[in-house]
Amino acid sequence: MQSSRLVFPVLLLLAPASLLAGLAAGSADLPLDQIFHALLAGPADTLASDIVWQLRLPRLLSAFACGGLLALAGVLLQVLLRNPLAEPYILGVSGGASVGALTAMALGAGVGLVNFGAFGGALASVALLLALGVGGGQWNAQRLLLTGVVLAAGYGAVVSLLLSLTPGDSLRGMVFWLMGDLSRAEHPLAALGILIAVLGAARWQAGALDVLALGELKAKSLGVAVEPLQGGLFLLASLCAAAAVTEGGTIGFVGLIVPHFLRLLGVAGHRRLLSASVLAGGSFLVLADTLARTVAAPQQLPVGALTALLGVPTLLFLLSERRRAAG
Amino acid sequence: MLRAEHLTLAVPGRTLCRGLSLDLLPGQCWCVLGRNGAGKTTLLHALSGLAAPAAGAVWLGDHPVDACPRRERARRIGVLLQDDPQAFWGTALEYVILGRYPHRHGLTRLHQEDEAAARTALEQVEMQDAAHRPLSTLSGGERQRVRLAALLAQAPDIYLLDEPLQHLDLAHQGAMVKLLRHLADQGKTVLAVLHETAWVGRYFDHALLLHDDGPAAGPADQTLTAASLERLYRCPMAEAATEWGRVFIPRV
Repeated sequence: MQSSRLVFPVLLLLAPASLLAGLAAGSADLPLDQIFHALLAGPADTLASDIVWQLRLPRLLSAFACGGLLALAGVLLQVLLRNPLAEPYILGVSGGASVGALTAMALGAGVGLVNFGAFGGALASVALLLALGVGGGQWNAQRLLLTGVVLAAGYGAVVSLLLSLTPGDSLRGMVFWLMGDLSRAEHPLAALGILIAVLGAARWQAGALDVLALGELKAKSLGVAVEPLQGGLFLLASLCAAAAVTEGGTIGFVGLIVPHFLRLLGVAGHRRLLSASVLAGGSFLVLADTLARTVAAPQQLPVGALTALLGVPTLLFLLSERRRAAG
Repeated sequence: MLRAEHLTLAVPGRTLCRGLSLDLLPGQCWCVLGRNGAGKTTLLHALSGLAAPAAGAVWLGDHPVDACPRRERARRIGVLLQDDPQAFWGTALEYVILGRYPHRHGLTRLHQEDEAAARTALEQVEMQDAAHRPLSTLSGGERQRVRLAALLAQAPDIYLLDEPLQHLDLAHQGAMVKLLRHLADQGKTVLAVLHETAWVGRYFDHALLLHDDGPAAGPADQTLTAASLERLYRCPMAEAATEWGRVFIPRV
Protein backbone atom coordinates (compact mmCIF):
# COMPACT_ATOMS: atom_id res chain seq x y z
CA MET A 1 0.00 0.00 0.00
CA GLN A 2 2.68 2.44 1.13
CA SER A 3 5.14 1.71 -1.65
CA SER A 4 2.45 1.84 -4.34
CA ARG A 5 1.70 5.49 -3.44
CA LEU A 6 5.30 6.39 -4.20
CA VAL A 7 5.35 4.65 -7.58
CA PHE A 8 3.54 7.40 -9.47
CA PRO A 9 5.58 10.39 -8.29
CA VAL A 10 8.77 8.40 -8.90
CA LEU A 11 7.67 7.49 -12.43
CA LEU A 12 6.66 11.08 -13.17
CA LEU A 13 10.19 12.14 -12.27
CA LEU A 14 11.84 9.18 -13.95
CA ALA A 15 10.33 9.85 -17.39
CA PRO A 16 11.81 13.36 -17.93
CA ALA A 17 15.01 12.35 -16.12
CA SER A 18 15.55 9.42 -18.49
CA LEU A 19 14.95 11.67 -21.49
CA LEU A 20 17.45 14.22 -20.17
CA ALA A 21 20.02 11.51 -19.54
CA GLY A 22 19.48 10.32 -23.09
CA LEU A 23 19.92 13.84 -24.45
CA ALA A 24 23.16 14.28 -22.53
CA ALA A 25 24.69 10.92 -23.46
CA GLY A 26 26.43 10.37 -26.76
CA SER A 27 29.64 10.71 -28.70
CA ALA A 28 29.48 14.52 -28.73
CA ASP A 29 29.71 16.02 -25.23
CA LEU A 30 26.74 18.26 -24.52
CA PRO A 31 26.56 19.90 -21.07
CA LEU A 32 23.08 20.22 -19.53
CA ASP A 33 22.95 24.01 -19.90
CA GLN A 34 23.51 23.73 -23.65
CA ILE A 35 20.80 21.06 -23.86
CA PHE A 36 18.31 23.26 -21.99
CA HIS A 37 19.26 26.22 -24.12
CA ALA A 38 18.80 24.23 -27.33
CA LEU A 39 15.46 22.83 -26.11
CA LEU A 40 14.09 26.22 -25.08
CA ALA A 41 15.32 28.03 -28.18
CA GLY A 42 13.66 25.53 -30.52
CA PRO A 43 15.31 24.12 -33.65
CA ALA A 44 18.10 26.49 -34.71
CA ASP A 45 21.16 26.48 -36.90
CA THR A 46 23.73 25.47 -34.28
CA LEU A 47 25.53 22.20 -33.71
CA ALA A 48 24.00 21.70 -30.27
CA SER A 49 20.54 22.36 -31.65
CA ASP A 50 21.09 19.92 -34.50
CA ILE A 51 22.27 17.19 -32.16
CA VAL A 52 19.31 17.71 -29.81
CA TRP A 53 16.52 18.30 -32.33
CA GLN A 54 17.67 16.23 -35.31
CA LEU A 55 19.51 13.30 -33.76
CA ARG A 56 18.87 12.56 -30.15
CA LEU A 57 15.33 13.80 -29.38
CA PRO A 58 13.55 11.94 -32.22
CA ARG A 59 15.27 8.70 -31.28
CA LEU A 60 14.56 9.19 -27.57
CA LEU A 61 10.91 9.94 -28.20
CA SER A 62 10.74 6.89 -30.46
CA ALA A 63 12.23 4.80 -27.69
CA PHE A 64 9.76 6.22 -25.16
CA ALA A 65 6.78 5.62 -27.44
CA CYS A 66 7.99 2.15 -28.30
CA GLY A 67 8.54 1.16 -24.65
CA GLY A 68 5.19 2.64 -23.63
CA LEU A 69 3.38 0.82 -26.46
CA LEU A 70 5.00 -2.50 -25.55
CA ALA A 71 4.13 -2.20 -21.85
CA LEU A 72 0.59 -1.11 -22.69
CA ALA A 73 0.11 -4.02 -25.09
CA GLY A 74 1.43 -6.34 -22.38
CA VAL A 75 -1.15 -5.16 -19.84
CA LEU A 76 -4.01 -5.41 -22.33
CA LEU A 77 -3.06 -8.90 -23.49
CA GLN A 78 -2.56 -10.13 -19.94
CA VAL A 79 -6.18 -9.19 -19.21
CA LEU A 80 -7.52 -10.47 -22.53
CA LEU A 81 -5.83 -13.86 -22.35
CA ARG A 82 -5.99 -14.04 -18.53
CA ASN A 83 -2.44 -15.24 -18.69
CA PRO A 84 0.26 -13.48 -16.66
CA LEU A 85 2.90 -14.52 -19.19
CA ALA A 86 1.18 -12.91 -22.17
CA GLU A 87 3.38 -10.35 -23.92
CA PRO A 88 2.96 -8.11 -26.98
CA TYR A 89 4.34 -10.64 -29.44
CA ILE A 90 2.59 -13.73 -28.08
CA LEU A 91 -0.09 -13.66 -30.78
CA GLY A 92 2.42 -13.54 -33.60
CA VAL A 93 2.14 -9.82 -34.43
CA SER A 94 5.91 -9.45 -34.40
CA GLY A 95 6.32 -12.52 -36.59
CA GLY A 96 4.09 -11.02 -39.25
CA ALA A 97 5.94 -7.72 -38.96
CA SER A 98 9.30 -9.51 -39.24
CA VAL A 99 8.26 -11.30 -42.42
CA GLY A 100 7.05 -7.98 -43.89
CA ALA A 101 10.13 -6.00 -42.89
CA LEU A 102 12.65 -8.65 -43.92
CA THR A 103 10.95 -9.16 -47.25
CA ALA A 104 11.22 -5.41 -47.88
CA MET A 105 14.90 -5.49 -46.87
CA ALA A 106 15.59 -8.49 -49.10
CA LEU A 107 14.13 -6.50 -51.98
CA GLY A 108 16.50 -3.66 -51.15
CA ALA A 109 13.88 -1.22 -49.88
CA GLY A 110 14.73 1.90 -47.84
CA VAL A 111 13.69 2.69 -44.26
CA GLY A 112 10.26 3.98 -45.23
CA LEU A 113 9.31 0.86 -47.17
CA VAL A 114 10.77 -1.42 -44.50
CA ASN A 115 8.54 0.29 -41.91
CA PHE A 116 5.62 0.00 -44.27
CA GLY A 117 6.38 -3.70 -44.70
CA ALA A 118 6.59 -4.19 -40.93
CA PHE A 119 3.31 -2.43 -40.21
CA GLY A 120 1.57 -4.16 -43.12
CA GLY A 121 2.90 -7.54 -42.02
CA ALA A 122 1.72 -6.92 -38.45
CA LEU A 123 -1.78 -5.94 -39.57
CA ALA A 124 -1.96 -8.88 -41.96
CA SER A 125 -1.04 -11.26 -39.16
CA VAL A 126 -3.77 -9.74 -36.96
CA ALA A 127 -6.32 -10.22 -39.73
CA LEU A 128 -5.19 -13.81 -40.27
CA LEU A 129 -5.40 -14.52 -36.54
CA LEU A 130 -8.91 -13.05 -36.38
CA ALA A 131 -10.01 -15.22 -39.30
CA LEU A 132 -8.50 -18.41 -37.88
CA GLY A 133 -8.73 -17.89 -34.14
CA VAL A 134 -12.21 -16.48 -33.72
CA GLY A 135 -14.47 -19.19 -35.09
CA GLY A 136 -18.18 -18.45 -35.40
CA GLY A 137 -17.84 -15.04 -33.77
CA GLN A 138 -17.09 -16.70 -30.41
CA TRP A 139 -14.20 -15.31 -28.39
CA ASN A 140 -12.15 -18.01 -26.80
CA ALA A 141 -8.93 -16.85 -25.19
CA GLN A 142 -7.40 -20.34 -25.25
CA ARG A 143 -8.08 -20.83 -28.93
CA LEU A 144 -6.82 -17.36 -29.80
CA LEU A 145 -3.63 -17.98 -27.82
CA LEU A 146 -2.98 -21.38 -29.39
CA THR A 147 -3.62 -20.09 -32.90
CA GLY A 148 -1.32 -17.13 -32.26
CA VAL A 149 1.47 -19.35 -30.99
CA VAL A 150 1.14 -21.70 -33.98
CA LEU A 151 1.17 -18.76 -36.40
CA ALA A 152 4.24 -17.32 -34.65
CA ALA A 153 6.06 -20.62 -35.21
CA GLY A 154 5.15 -20.43 -38.89
CA TYR A 155 6.48 -16.87 -39.17
CA GLY A 156 9.67 -18.02 -37.46
CA ALA A 157 10.18 -20.59 -40.20
CA VAL A 158 9.63 -18.00 -42.94
CA VAL A 159 12.10 -15.63 -41.23
CA SER A 160 14.74 -18.40 -41.08
CA LEU A 161 14.16 -19.08 -44.74
CA LEU A 162 14.52 -15.39 -45.65
CA LEU A 163 17.72 -15.11 -43.61
CA SER A 164 19.29 -18.18 -45.18
CA LEU A 165 18.45 -17.00 -48.71
CA THR A 166 19.84 -13.48 -48.16
CA PRO A 167 23.40 -12.62 -49.27
CA GLY A 168 25.82 -11.70 -46.47
CA ASP A 169 25.91 -7.92 -46.86
CA SER A 170 22.18 -7.36 -46.13
CA LEU A 171 22.16 -9.94 -43.35
CA ARG A 172 23.48 -7.62 -40.64
CA GLY A 173 20.62 -5.13 -41.00
CA MET A 174 18.09 -7.96 -40.85
CA VAL A 175 19.59 -9.49 -37.73
CA PHE A 176 19.67 -6.09 -36.04
CA TRP A 177 16.04 -5.51 -36.97
CA LEU A 178 15.08 -8.89 -35.51
CA MET A 179 16.93 -8.18 -32.28
CA GLY A 180 15.23 -4.83 -31.88
CA ASP A 181 16.99 -1.69 -33.00
CA LEU A 182 15.99 1.95 -32.68
CA SER A 183 18.81 3.43 -34.78
CA ARG A 184 16.49 3.90 -37.76
CA ALA A 185 13.65 5.39 -35.72
CA GLU A 186 13.25 8.99 -36.78
CA HIS A 187 9.56 9.82 -36.81
CA PRO A 188 8.17 9.31 -33.33
CA LEU A 189 4.99 11.36 -33.70
CA ALA A 190 2.81 8.61 -35.19
CA ALA A 191 3.84 6.13 -32.49
CA LEU A 192 3.33 8.74 -29.74
CA GLY A 193 -0.11 9.54 -31.13
CA ILE A 194 -1.11 5.87 -31.12
CA LEU A 195 0.27 5.52 -27.59
CA ILE A 196 -1.82 8.40 -26.25
CA ALA A 197 -4.97 7.33 -28.09
CA VAL A 198 -4.78 3.72 -26.91
CA LEU A 199 -3.95 4.74 -23.35
CA GLY A 200 -6.97 7.02 -23.31
CA ALA A 201 -9.28 4.34 -24.69
CA ALA A 202 -7.99 1.71 -22.27
CA ARG A 203 -8.26 4.01 -19.26
CA TRP A 204 -11.84 4.78 -20.22
CA GLN A 205 -12.59 1.07 -19.77
CA ALA A 206 -10.27 0.58 -16.76
CA GLY A 207 -13.13 -0.41 -14.46
CA ALA A 208 -14.33 -3.01 -16.94
CA LEU A 209 -10.78 -4.36 -17.24
CA ASP A 210 -10.62 -4.81 -13.46
CA VAL A 211 -13.81 -6.85 -13.61
CA LEU A 212 -12.82 -8.81 -16.72
CA ALA A 213 -9.63 -9.90 -14.94
CA LEU A 214 -11.91 -11.83 -12.55
CA GLY A 215 -13.11 -14.05 -15.39
CA GLU A 216 -15.52 -13.80 -18.29
CA LEU A 217 -18.57 -15.22 -16.52
CA LYS A 218 -18.06 -13.04 -13.47
CA ALA A 219 -17.62 -9.96 -15.66
CA LYS A 220 -20.78 -10.85 -17.57
CA SER A 221 -22.73 -11.23 -14.35
CA LEU A 222 -21.62 -7.74 -13.31
CA GLY A 223 -22.89 -6.22 -16.54
CA VAL A 224 -19.68 -5.94 -18.60
CA ALA A 225 -20.16 -6.27 -22.37
CA VAL A 226 -17.57 -9.03 -22.45
CA GLU A 227 -17.34 -9.87 -26.17
CA PRO A 228 -17.09 -6.28 -27.47
CA LEU A 229 -14.57 -5.49 -24.74
CA GLN A 230 -12.43 -8.49 -25.68
CA GLY A 231 -12.59 -7.55 -29.35
CA GLY A 232 -11.55 -4.00 -28.52
CA LEU A 233 -8.71 -5.20 -26.31
CA PHE A 234 -7.43 -7.46 -29.06
CA LEU A 235 -7.46 -4.69 -31.64
CA LEU A 236 -5.88 -2.09 -29.35
CA ALA A 237 -3.16 -4.47 -28.18
CA SER A 238 -2.44 -5.49 -31.77
CA LEU A 239 -2.25 -1.85 -32.85
CA CYS A 240 0.21 -1.13 -30.03
CA ALA A 241 2.36 -4.13 -30.91
CA ALA A 242 2.29 -3.31 -34.62
CA ALA A 243 3.27 0.33 -33.99
CA ALA A 244 6.04 -0.68 -31.57
CA VAL A 245 7.49 -3.33 -33.85
CA THR A 246 7.42 -0.91 -36.79
CA GLU A 247 9.29 1.66 -34.73
CA GLY A 248 11.95 -0.55 -33.20
CA GLY A 249 11.85 -4.12 -34.49
CA THR A 250 11.19 -6.96 -32.06
CA ILE A 251 12.27 -5.57 -28.70
CA GLY A 252 11.58 -8.27 -26.14
CA PHE A 253 10.75 -8.38 -22.44
CA VAL A 254 9.52 -4.80 -21.98
CA GLY A 255 5.87 -5.81 -22.38
CA LEU A 256 6.33 -8.76 -20.06
CA ILE A 257 8.39 -7.41 -17.18
CA VAL A 258 7.11 -3.84 -16.85
CA PRO A 259 3.51 -4.74 -15.90
CA HIS A 260 4.73 -7.53 -13.61
CA PHE A 261 7.24 -5.32 -11.92
CA LEU A 262 4.57 -2.67 -11.23
CA ARG A 263 2.15 -5.26 -9.88
CA LEU A 264 4.87 -6.46 -7.55
CA LEU A 265 5.23 -2.89 -6.30
CA GLY A 266 1.52 -2.88 -5.52
CA VAL A 267 0.18 -0.98 -8.55
CA ALA A 268 -2.83 -3.14 -9.23
CA GLY A 269 -6.06 -1.47 -10.34
CA HIS A 270 -6.02 -0.96 -14.11
CA ARG A 271 -6.61 2.79 -14.04
CA ARG A 272 -3.21 3.22 -12.39
CA LEU A 273 -1.53 0.18 -13.92
CA LEU A 274 -2.14 1.39 -17.49
CA SER A 275 -0.63 4.85 -16.96
CA ALA A 276 2.20 3.55 -14.79
CA SER A 277 3.07 0.92 -17.40
CA VAL A 278 3.34 3.53 -20.14
CA LEU A 279 5.61 5.75 -18.02
CA ALA A 280 7.75 2.86 -16.76
CA GLY A 281 7.97 1.09 -20.13
CA GLY A 282 8.86 4.32 -21.92
CA SER A 283 11.51 5.33 -19.39
CA PHE A 284 12.96 1.82 -19.30
CA LEU A 285 13.41 1.68 -23.06
CA VAL A 286 14.86 5.21 -23.18
CA LEU A 287 17.49 4.20 -20.64
CA ALA A 288 18.15 0.86 -22.33
CA ASP A 289 18.54 2.53 -25.73
CA THR A 290 20.85 5.16 -24.27
CA LEU A 291 23.00 2.35 -22.89
CA ALA A 292 22.85 0.60 -26.25
CA ARG A 293 24.15 3.76 -27.95
CA THR A 294 26.93 4.46 -25.48
CA VAL A 295 28.41 1.39 -23.75
CA ALA A 296 30.29 0.14 -26.82
CA ALA A 297 30.50 3.48 -28.69
CA PRO A 298 31.10 4.11 -31.51
CA GLN A 299 29.63 0.64 -32.04
CA GLN A 300 25.83 0.64 -31.44
CA LEU A 301 24.25 -2.41 -29.82
CA PRO A 302 20.74 -3.58 -30.70
CA VAL A 303 18.53 -2.38 -27.84
CA GLY A 304 16.52 -5.61 -27.91
CA ALA A 305 19.59 -7.53 -26.80
CA LEU A 306 19.99 -5.14 -23.86
CA THR A 307 16.37 -5.33 -22.75
CA ALA A 308 16.63 -9.11 -22.83
CA LEU A 309 19.90 -9.04 -20.87
CA LEU A 310 18.25 -6.81 -18.26
CA GLY A 311 14.89 -8.58 -18.51
CA VAL A 312 15.90 -12.21 -18.09
CA PRO A 313 17.47 -11.85 -14.62
CA THR A 314 14.67 -9.50 -13.51
CA LEU A 315 12.01 -11.96 -14.57
CA LEU A 316 13.79 -14.90 -12.95
CA PHE A 317 14.05 -12.88 -9.75
CA LEU A 318 10.33 -12.03 -9.87
CA LEU A 319 9.40 -15.68 -10.44
CA SER A 320 11.51 -16.90 -7.54
CA GLU A 321 10.00 -14.18 -5.32
CA ARG A 322 6.56 -15.35 -6.29
CA ARG A 323 7.44 -18.96 -5.58
CA ARG A 324 8.69 -17.93 -2.16
CA ALA A 325 5.55 -15.90 -1.48
CA ALA A 326 3.35 -18.81 -2.57
CA GLY A 327 5.37 -21.45 -0.73
CA MET B 1 -40.58 -11.28 -10.83
CA LEU B 2 -38.15 -13.87 -12.18
CA ARG B 3 -40.04 -16.56 -14.04
CA ALA B 4 -38.80 -19.69 -15.75
CA GLU B 5 -41.09 -21.36 -18.28
CA HIS B 6 -40.66 -24.95 -19.48
CA LEU B 7 -36.89 -24.86 -19.23
CA THR B 8 -34.77 -27.64 -20.65
CA LEU B 9 -31.27 -27.64 -19.24
CA ALA B 10 -28.50 -29.38 -21.12
CA VAL B 11 -24.74 -29.60 -21.30
CA PRO B 12 -23.07 -30.71 -24.54
CA GLY B 13 -24.14 -34.30 -25.17
CA ARG B 14 -26.54 -34.62 -22.22
CA THR B 15 -29.97 -33.34 -21.25
CA LEU B 16 -30.08 -32.63 -17.53
CA CYS B 17 -33.60 -31.52 -16.86
CA ARG B 18 -36.87 -30.98 -18.75
CA GLY B 19 -40.08 -29.08 -18.12
CA LEU B 20 -38.83 -26.86 -15.32
CA SER B 21 -41.13 -23.95 -14.49
CA LEU B 22 -40.57 -21.59 -11.59
CA ASP B 23 -41.93 -18.33 -10.24
CA LEU B 24 -39.49 -16.54 -7.96
CA LEU B 25 -41.22 -13.78 -6.02
CA PRO B 26 -39.92 -11.06 -3.70
CA GLY B 27 -39.65 -12.27 -0.12
CA GLN B 28 -39.14 -15.89 -1.11
CA CYS B 29 -36.08 -17.85 -0.07
CA TRP B 30 -35.53 -20.87 -2.30
CA CYS B 31 -33.13 -23.76 -1.93
CA VAL B 32 -32.15 -25.88 -4.91
CA LEU B 33 -31.13 -29.45 -4.15
CA GLY B 34 -29.88 -32.16 -6.43
CA ARG B 35 -27.23 -34.77 -6.94
CA ASN B 36 -23.88 -33.91 -8.54
CA GLY B 37 -24.39 -33.21 -12.23
CA ALA B 38 -28.16 -32.70 -11.88
CA GLY B 39 -27.98 -29.26 -13.55
CA LYS B 40 -28.00 -26.92 -10.57
CA THR B 41 -25.27 -24.63 -11.84
CA THR B 42 -26.65 -24.76 -15.40
CA LEU B 43 -30.01 -23.67 -13.97
CA LEU B 44 -28.40 -20.75 -12.17
CA HIS B 45 -26.68 -19.60 -15.36
CA ALA B 46 -29.96 -19.83 -17.28
CA LEU B 47 -31.91 -17.92 -14.63
CA SER B 48 -29.30 -15.15 -14.52
CA GLY B 49 -29.11 -14.81 -18.30
CA LEU B 50 -25.43 -15.81 -18.38
CA ALA B 51 -26.18 -18.75 -20.67
CA ALA B 52 -29.27 -19.53 -22.68
CA PRO B 53 -31.23 -22.67 -21.71
CA ALA B 54 -31.51 -25.43 -24.30
CA ALA B 55 -35.24 -24.70 -24.51
CA GLY B 56 -37.80 -22.59 -22.68
CA ALA B 57 -37.66 -19.01 -21.53
CA VAL B 58 -36.66 -16.94 -18.53
CA TRP B 59 -38.53 -13.70 -17.87
CA LEU B 60 -37.33 -10.83 -15.74
CA GLY B 61 -40.51 -8.88 -15.13
CA ASP B 62 -42.11 -8.47 -18.56
CA HIS B 63 -38.96 -9.01 -20.64
CA PRO B 64 -36.84 -12.02 -21.55
CA VAL B 65 -33.86 -11.98 -19.20
CA ASP B 66 -31.33 -11.94 -22.05
CA ALA B 67 -33.04 -8.92 -23.66
CA CYS B 68 -32.49 -6.80 -20.55
CA PRO B 69 -29.62 -4.27 -20.88
CA ARG B 70 -26.50 -5.73 -19.25
CA ARG B 71 -25.96 -3.20 -16.52
CA GLU B 72 -29.61 -2.94 -15.61
CA ARG B 73 -29.75 -6.73 -15.38
CA ALA B 74 -26.67 -6.71 -13.13
CA ARG B 75 -28.38 -4.17 -10.88
CA ARG B 76 -31.41 -6.46 -10.58
CA ILE B 77 -29.87 -9.95 -10.58
CA GLY B 78 -26.75 -10.78 -8.59
CA VAL B 79 -24.99 -14.11 -8.98
CA LEU B 80 -22.58 -15.84 -6.64
CA LEU B 81 -20.60 -18.06 -9.00
CA GLN B 82 -18.45 -20.99 -7.99
CA ASP B 83 -15.24 -19.21 -8.99
CA ASP B 84 -12.46 -18.68 -6.49
CA PRO B 85 -10.66 -15.34 -6.97
CA GLN B 86 -7.47 -16.65 -5.37
CA ALA B 87 -5.30 -14.90 -7.96
CA PHE B 88 -6.97 -11.52 -7.40
CA TRP B 89 -4.45 -8.67 -7.28
CA GLY B 90 -5.91 -6.51 -4.55
CA THR B 91 -7.30 -6.33 -1.05
CA ALA B 92 -10.62 -7.68 0.19
CA LEU B 93 -12.08 -4.16 0.07
CA GLU B 94 -10.90 -3.62 -3.52
CA TYR B 95 -12.53 -6.90 -4.49
CA VAL B 96 -15.85 -5.99 -2.87
CA ILE B 97 -15.82 -2.57 -4.56
CA LEU B 98 -15.78 -4.36 -7.94
CA GLY B 99 -19.28 -5.53 -7.01
CA ARG B 100 -20.36 -1.90 -7.44
CA TYR B 101 -19.47 -2.00 -11.15
CA PRO B 102 -23.07 -2.06 -12.44
CA HIS B 103 -23.80 1.09 -10.41
CA ARG B 104 -20.85 3.00 -11.82
CA HIS B 105 -20.54 4.82 -15.12
CA GLY B 106 -17.74 4.66 -17.68
CA LEU B 107 -15.57 7.59 -16.76
CA THR B 108 -16.63 8.37 -13.22
CA ARG B 109 -14.18 7.69 -10.49
CA LEU B 110 -14.99 5.65 -7.47
CA HIS B 111 -17.65 7.39 -5.40
CA GLN B 112 -17.56 7.51 -1.66
CA GLU B 113 -20.93 5.81 -1.59
CA ASP B 114 -19.45 2.84 -3.44
CA GLU B 115 -16.72 2.45 -0.85
CA ALA B 116 -19.22 2.94 1.96
CA ALA B 117 -21.45 0.23 0.48
CA ALA B 118 -18.45 -2.09 0.21
CA ARG B 119 -17.46 -1.49 3.83
CA THR B 120 -21.02 -2.10 5.04
CA ALA B 121 -21.10 -5.33 3.05
CA LEU B 122 -17.84 -6.48 4.65
CA GLU B 123 -19.34 -5.77 8.08
CA GLN B 124 -22.40 -7.88 7.22
CA VAL B 125 -20.14 -10.90 6.69
CA GLU B 126 -17.89 -9.98 9.65
CA MET B 127 -14.87 -9.38 7.45
CA GLN B 128 -14.38 -5.66 8.14
CA ASP B 129 -11.07 -6.33 9.93
CA ALA B 130 -9.68 -7.95 6.79
CA ALA B 131 -10.64 -5.04 4.52
CA HIS B 132 -7.05 -4.11 3.74
CA ARG B 133 -5.57 -7.59 3.61
CA PRO B 134 -4.70 -9.00 0.16
CA LEU B 135 -7.49 -11.34 -0.89
CA SER B 136 -4.97 -14.02 -1.86
CA THR B 137 -3.79 -14.30 1.76
CA LEU B 138 -7.26 -15.10 3.14
CA SER B 139 -8.44 -18.65 3.81
CA GLY B 140 -10.99 -20.36 1.57
CA GLY B 141 -13.82 -19.65 4.00
CA GLU B 142 -12.79 -16.03 4.46
CA ARG B 143 -12.64 -15.54 0.68
CA GLN B 144 -16.10 -17.09 0.44
CA ARG B 145 -17.43 -14.47 2.86
CA VAL B 146 -15.71 -11.68 0.91
CA ARG B 147 -17.31 -13.04 -2.27
CA LEU B 148 -20.70 -12.80 -0.62
CA ALA B 149 -19.85 -9.26 0.50
CA ALA B 150 -19.18 -8.31 -3.13
CA LEU B 151 -22.64 -9.63 -3.99
CA LEU B 152 -24.19 -7.62 -1.14
CA ALA B 153 -22.38 -4.51 -2.41
CA GLN B 154 -23.89 -5.17 -5.84
CA ALA B 155 -27.26 -4.78 -4.06
CA PRO B 156 -29.48 -6.62 -6.55
CA ASP B 157 -33.17 -7.44 -6.06
CA ILE B 158 -32.64 -11.10 -6.88
CA TYR B 159 -29.84 -13.16 -5.34
CA LEU B 160 -28.82 -16.35 -7.14
CA LEU B 161 -26.17 -18.24 -5.19
CA ASP B 162 -24.18 -21.30 -6.24
CA GLU B 163 -23.12 -23.21 -3.11
CA PRO B 164 -22.87 -20.18 -0.80
CA LEU B 165 -21.91 -22.41 2.14
CA GLN B 166 -18.84 -24.00 0.57
CA HIS B 167 -15.65 -23.69 2.67
CA LEU B 168 -17.59 -22.18 5.61
CA ASP B 169 -17.34 -23.49 9.16
CA LEU B 170 -20.59 -24.32 10.98
CA ALA B 171 -20.95 -20.98 12.74
CA HIS B 172 -20.45 -19.07 9.50
CA GLN B 173 -22.78 -21.43 7.63
CA GLY B 174 -25.41 -20.46 10.19
CA ALA B 175 -24.60 -16.76 9.81
CA MET B 176 -24.80 -17.08 6.01
CA VAL B 177 -28.23 -18.79 5.90
CA LYS B 178 -29.55 -16.28 8.44
CA LEU B 179 -28.27 -13.47 6.22
CA LEU B 180 -30.02 -15.01 3.19
CA ARG B 181 -33.23 -15.32 5.23
CA HIS B 182 -32.84 -11.70 6.32
CA LEU B 183 -32.48 -10.59 2.67
CA ALA B 184 -35.70 -12.40 1.80
CA ASP B 185 -37.47 -10.85 4.79
CA GLN B 186 -36.44 -7.44 3.43
CA GLY B 187 -38.26 -8.23 0.20
CA LYS B 188 -35.39 -9.57 -1.87
CA THR B 189 -35.67 -12.80 -3.85
CA VAL B 190 -33.17 -15.47 -2.85
CA LEU B 191 -32.34 -18.76 -4.57
CA ALA B 192 -29.41 -20.81 -3.31
CA VAL B 193 -27.99 -24.07 -4.57
CA LEU B 194 -26.76 -26.11 -1.65
CA HIS B 195 -26.03 -29.56 -0.29
CA GLU B 196 -26.36 -28.87 3.44
CA THR B 197 -29.70 -30.49 4.33
CA ALA B 198 -29.33 -29.49 7.98
CA TRP B 199 -30.23 -25.89 7.13
CA VAL B 200 -32.84 -26.20 4.42
CA GLY B 201 -35.86 -27.07 6.58
CA ARG B 202 -35.33 -24.13 8.89
CA TYR B 203 -34.43 -21.08 6.80
CA PHE B 204 -35.81 -21.72 3.31
CA ASP B 205 -39.51 -21.37 2.57
CA HIS B 206 -39.42 -22.90 -0.92
CA ALA B 207 -37.50 -25.77 -2.41
CA LEU B 208 -36.65 -27.02 -5.90
CA LEU B 209 -35.57 -30.64 -6.11
CA LEU B 210 -33.89 -31.69 -9.35
CA HIS B 211 -34.87 -35.37 -9.46
CA ASP B 212 -33.53 -37.62 -12.22
CA ASP B 213 -37.07 -38.00 -13.58
CA GLY B 214 -37.99 -34.32 -13.45
CA PRO B 215 -38.01 -31.33 -11.15
CA ALA B 216 -40.28 -30.78 -8.15
CA ALA B 217 -40.82 -27.25 -6.89
CA GLY B 218 -43.00 -25.77 -4.19
CA PRO B 219 -43.33 -24.63 -0.59
CA ALA B 220 -40.66 -26.21 1.58
CA ASP B 221 -43.06 -27.84 4.03
CA GLN B 222 -44.59 -29.87 1.17
CA THR B 223 -41.56 -30.42 -1.05
CA LEU B 224 -39.00 -31.24 1.60
CA THR B 225 -39.68 -34.58 3.27
CA ALA B 226 -37.44 -37.43 4.29
CA ALA B 227 -39.00 -39.47 1.49
CA SER B 228 -38.42 -36.84 -1.20
CA LEU B 229 -34.82 -36.34 -0.13
CA GLU B 230 -34.28 -40.11 -0.05
CA ARG B 231 -35.51 -40.30 -3.62
CA LEU B 232 -33.36 -37.31 -4.60
CA TYR B 233 -30.06 -38.40 -3.10
CA ARG B 234 -30.69 -42.20 -3.22
CA CYS B 235 -29.60 -42.19 0.35
CA PRO B 236 -31.68 -43.11 3.44
CA MET B 237 -32.73 -39.93 5.27
CA ALA B 238 -34.28 -39.16 8.65
CA GLU B 239 -36.33 -36.12 9.60
CA ALA B 240 -36.26 -34.70 13.10
CA ALA B 241 -38.58 -32.01 14.40
CA THR B 242 -36.60 -29.78 16.74
CA GLU B 243 -37.56 -26.62 18.54
CA TRP B 244 -35.66 -24.68 15.82
CA GLY B 245 -37.46 -26.34 12.96
CA ARG B 246 -37.20 -29.45 10.80
CA VAL B 247 -33.77 -31.03 10.33
CA PHE B 248 -32.84 -33.68 7.76
CA ILE B 249 -29.89 -35.96 8.34
CA PRO B 250 -28.64 -38.93 6.34
CA ARG B 251 -29.20 -42.35 7.97
CA VAL B 252 -25.82 -43.79 7.03
